[in-house]
Amino acid sequence: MAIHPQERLSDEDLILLVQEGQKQAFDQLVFRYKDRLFNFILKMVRDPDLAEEIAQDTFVRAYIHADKYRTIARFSTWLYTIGLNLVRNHMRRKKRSPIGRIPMVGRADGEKVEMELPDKGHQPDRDVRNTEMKTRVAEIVTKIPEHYREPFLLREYGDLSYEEISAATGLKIGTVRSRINRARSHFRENWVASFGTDADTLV
Amino acid sequence: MNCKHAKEQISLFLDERLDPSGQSKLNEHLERCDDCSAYLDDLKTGLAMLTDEGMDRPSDNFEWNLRRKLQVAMAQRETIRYDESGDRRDIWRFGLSAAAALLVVVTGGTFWYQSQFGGAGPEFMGTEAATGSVENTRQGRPGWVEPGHGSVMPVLDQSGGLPQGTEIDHERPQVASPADSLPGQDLD
Ligand SMILES: [Zn+2]
Repeated sequence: MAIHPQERLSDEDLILLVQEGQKQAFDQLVFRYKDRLFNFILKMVRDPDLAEEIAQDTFVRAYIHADKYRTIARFSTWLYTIGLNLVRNHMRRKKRSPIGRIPMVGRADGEKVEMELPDKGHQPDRDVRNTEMKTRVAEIVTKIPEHYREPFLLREYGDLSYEEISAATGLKIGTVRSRINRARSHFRENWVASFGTDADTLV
Repeated sequence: MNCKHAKEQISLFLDERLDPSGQSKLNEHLERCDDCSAYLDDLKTGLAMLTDEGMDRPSDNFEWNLRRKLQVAMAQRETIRYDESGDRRDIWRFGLSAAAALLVVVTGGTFWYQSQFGGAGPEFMGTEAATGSVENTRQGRPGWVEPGHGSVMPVLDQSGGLPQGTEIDHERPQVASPADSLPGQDLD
């Protein structure tokens, strides 16, 4: 009859507890994943408010559909797959929408509203530490073409294996491998353009 | 090994997918190629930055908004369940939708009240039960609470965590394929 504090439980144990009706276990999963999941989504959609909405929707779906989770997959793979599908749905809608406008749902008042693409202005209640660095890193990453960026971000933020990325994206493992390689090549090129190369700083 | 191939191998190396013989071939190339060595160094530095200094954080409202969405989603799901049962569906649909809307208004109102006046909200709201916990406010706005002390979950377990003596069943049978576990796909 050992007692397991939630911090020491694996993700998979926690989601099984959620399945058994122990809702508090979900808090720990949110705590573990919100930052990286948010970053993955943010670097796909480039809009912090929208990224928060999609990250929240990802958690809502994971919770509401917790009974569909099977231990055959890691919880993180399952969660990122949900997030990826929501991002892809958004991208598809965005491509269908008129320029510069994105339909948004589920605002605070429950109304469906359409809002302008927000500018990248000041976000007073977000963490403003290392703002300069974050902005540059975000620029470097979002310049990577979308189809390379997707598996790359699943790898870097989701820590998914090639096999897991293949399952999440529907790409073949060889394609995952080569797209991550190409994404890194773009990443390094953009990195050097922004920061210079390591070799420069050593001289 | 040419540089194009070496860069592919570097990507595999970063993902720990290169076997010892592949690694030694790559090392041989790196020893005589400054270009590929710089490529590897830049990637190591840059990729580490992604999940370190270059990482963005969601706003302080993240959990509060998540809790609100969970409340609505769960209320909607209950409504659908009653719909499917076919019993008194109109009454239930109206009642539960109204309850969900009221809950959101009350919760939002309480936090609005707190942010405006810094107090715990009007007494009649039963703040603890309706909003999770008044401790969820930080500097007058909703924020994150360490797991176990507050909750993003709409229905609170008053014990604030796992019941004493909870055992985890590691032997749970594994059935079904991952294909039926992708709730994000059913949107649109
Ligand atoms: Zn080379």
